Amino acid sequence: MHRILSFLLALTIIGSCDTVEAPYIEPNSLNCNYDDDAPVRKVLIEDFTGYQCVNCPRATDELKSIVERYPCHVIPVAIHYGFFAEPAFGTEDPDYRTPEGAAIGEYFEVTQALPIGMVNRRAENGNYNLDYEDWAIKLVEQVTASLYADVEILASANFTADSLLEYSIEINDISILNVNMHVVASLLENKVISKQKDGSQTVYDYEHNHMLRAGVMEDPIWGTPANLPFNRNFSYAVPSGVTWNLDNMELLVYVYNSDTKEIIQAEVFHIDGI
Amino acid sequence: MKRKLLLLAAGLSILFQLQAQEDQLVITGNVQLDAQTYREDSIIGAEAAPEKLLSNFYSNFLVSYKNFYGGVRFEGYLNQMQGFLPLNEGVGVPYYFAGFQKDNIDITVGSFYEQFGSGLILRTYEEKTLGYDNAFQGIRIRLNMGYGLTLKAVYGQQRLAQLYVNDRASLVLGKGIVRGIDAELNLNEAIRALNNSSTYITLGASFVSKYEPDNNPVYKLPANVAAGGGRIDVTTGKYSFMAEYTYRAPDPSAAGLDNSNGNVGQNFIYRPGQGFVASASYSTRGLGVYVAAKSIDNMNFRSDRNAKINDLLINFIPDFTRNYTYLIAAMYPYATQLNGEAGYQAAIQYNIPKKTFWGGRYGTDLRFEYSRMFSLMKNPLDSIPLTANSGTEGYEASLIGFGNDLFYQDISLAMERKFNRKVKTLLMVQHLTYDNNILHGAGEYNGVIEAFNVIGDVYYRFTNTKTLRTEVQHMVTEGDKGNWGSLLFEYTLPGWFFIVGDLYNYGNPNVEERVHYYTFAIAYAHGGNRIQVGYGKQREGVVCTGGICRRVPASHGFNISLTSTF
Repeated sequence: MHRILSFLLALTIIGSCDTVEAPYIEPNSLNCNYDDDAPVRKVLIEDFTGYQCVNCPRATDELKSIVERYPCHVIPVAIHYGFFAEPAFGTEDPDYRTPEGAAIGEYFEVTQALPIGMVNRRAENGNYNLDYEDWAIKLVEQVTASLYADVEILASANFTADSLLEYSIEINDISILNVNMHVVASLLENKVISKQKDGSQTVYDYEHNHMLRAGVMEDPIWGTPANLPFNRNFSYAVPSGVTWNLDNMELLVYVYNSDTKEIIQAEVFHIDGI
Repeated sequence: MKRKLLLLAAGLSILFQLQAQEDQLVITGNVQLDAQTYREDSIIGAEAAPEKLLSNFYSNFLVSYKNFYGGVRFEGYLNQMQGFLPLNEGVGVPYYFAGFQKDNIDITVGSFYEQFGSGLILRTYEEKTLGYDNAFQGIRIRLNMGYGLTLKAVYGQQRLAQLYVNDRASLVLGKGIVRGIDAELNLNEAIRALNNSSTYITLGASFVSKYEPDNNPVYKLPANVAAGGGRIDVTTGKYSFMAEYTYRAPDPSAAGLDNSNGNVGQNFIYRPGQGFVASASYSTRGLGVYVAAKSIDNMNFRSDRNAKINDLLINFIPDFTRNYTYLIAAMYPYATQLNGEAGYQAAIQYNIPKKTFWGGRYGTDLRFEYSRMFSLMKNPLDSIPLTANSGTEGYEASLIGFGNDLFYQDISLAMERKFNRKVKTLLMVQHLTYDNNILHGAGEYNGVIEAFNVIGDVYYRFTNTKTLRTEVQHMVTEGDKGNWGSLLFEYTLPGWFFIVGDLYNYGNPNVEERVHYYTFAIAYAHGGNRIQVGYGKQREGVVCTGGICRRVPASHGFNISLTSTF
């Protein structure tokens, strides 16, 4: 009998504990190379911000940290929104607000008390607003619940010599979702060097990234129905007079549930230059 | 703590009593049925049930013959009553075991409950009022090695729920495998010099390991997670003392993903867990003193990383707060914070001798209770917010580094006095501080509730067989739903009980929600059988036992309860 117990004791101790050393994120998670055939789930985090919002750089830093920790699962967007983004009276500060950002904020009842954000436009108790400290946890919640995405988005894009954006989008429904979907495409700009309040200071060479510049579909806010099979070409003329640096632009494409408006999948694509 | 150990001992004694009756086939058991009708009541937020009537029932059958014993438990959920988690379905036999006890060994296979020490790293038990059942399914060996050494080993998986699988109500287990061993050494038996000592010392050590494959593509997770601990129990004369320390290796899990209550913990963080509990008591004629303290950091320990709420907990944290039975005193109960908490409890009971000025003719009992639970100080690592530290080592904290957030505080003084052969009374005053956000979760009221309660209980005996008990309770608070008052009468005849009560939320800030939660019930008891039929309204709230809680939804309807033992 003592042998039985000795056996159990040995079994318990031998198989007792594994030690995991940092970094704790799987290497596959960093290069997104889980499975060549399956798209991973990417979560859209919309950071509502403004250059006069003294706490917004904290949210931006957190979003940057989230991107570093979960590079293959997050698509960040900065939406300059509300009175904190409104140029101060009597100044010539740039206005990064967009009609698209305003409409999205209004629809989802985004508060003007920035910083605030939405993660995949998912509501909890009817509220879409999430403090930036909650973004990572909501992202992890969604990714660990479903690592692989139900929808795959493929796209290619380029600017022509006359500042015309030409792009194509292909959507593959991996799981045959029984939901109505819409697809939206927008332009984001990186490396916009501009003024930003940060606590009690004003930083004049602050780098703004993932800045929402414009929706590039006929309906720039809500996009177009994504009836499958979906493989279409689009074009968009960059408005004259804008100060965008086309070399720093990206094409954001996301698919959302037409009924709930919740984001199903998002991707961001490089745009070939002229 | 002692109460829990006594309960455990009582449970075990049933088993051993069966075995004591040698050479006879002995069958014992019990049946419990709870059923309720649900009607919609928009004022209190009660929802109707499509089935009209919901019921939970259980029936245990235990047999023993010579050195063998066994048992089964039928469970039925047709359909499960509102407010219970996890979901259970259908009628099945999710608990069954067989075993034998011979010489110094006792082996059980099948379903069983077990506890190591105070449960800090392993405790499985069932509490049907909470819908809590984390029974093991596997094998357990208990061995008396002699010289005061007792060993216990368990190896199994844990119950999650009874669910329909292929149209059949089946026991569904958690994915993880739990292995554990516990050694307890009674020094008085082990050391000859202590054989006749009036000081009794017991040492204990536990080791538990769980296995769950790492199939998470985002995190590198340890498939095997170990926990261990040691304890000491000393009793000498009127004094007793116990202390236990446990350590759990990092066990990243989703247990803290629901951080809505602000006391964040395991959001896939790679931080070990620690726990320390200690208690001491002094007891002499007419006086009892009890003090206890604990400090817990990151002690979620479950056999499934994605389990939440009360599912698949391997361990149990003693609550160290008083579990009141009075309706208003129990309105805001403490919920143990596995993610981190510290606290202490003190209780003094004093009997003022009879035939004195203060004690009166029959003596007077005074009971003072104090418990205070608060946060541990958690400092972020590398400025990463506590709510966004997944995939990191979490935070810095120490078991003696206390935070500033008060979760719960209860101060109460009760006086119980018998005036004559007919009248006995209890008067209790209580002040409660309750962080509703932490302990109840995000809801309608997220602030701290300060409540002052007064409770009176008068027991009047008309004759030897006819009694009337009257409870008067009152709560004054500006938090949550405001003031409450309660009045309850319980009239007892031989075999019969009649209960009429009302709980009135007369101070609700919302005038429309100033509701009477009335109750009418009749019960009949005879021998080992009791049946109760009632009608009334149940307020939405939380019910906790030992710090494990369940949200109780508002309900309105008839209820029936039947218990029978044989």
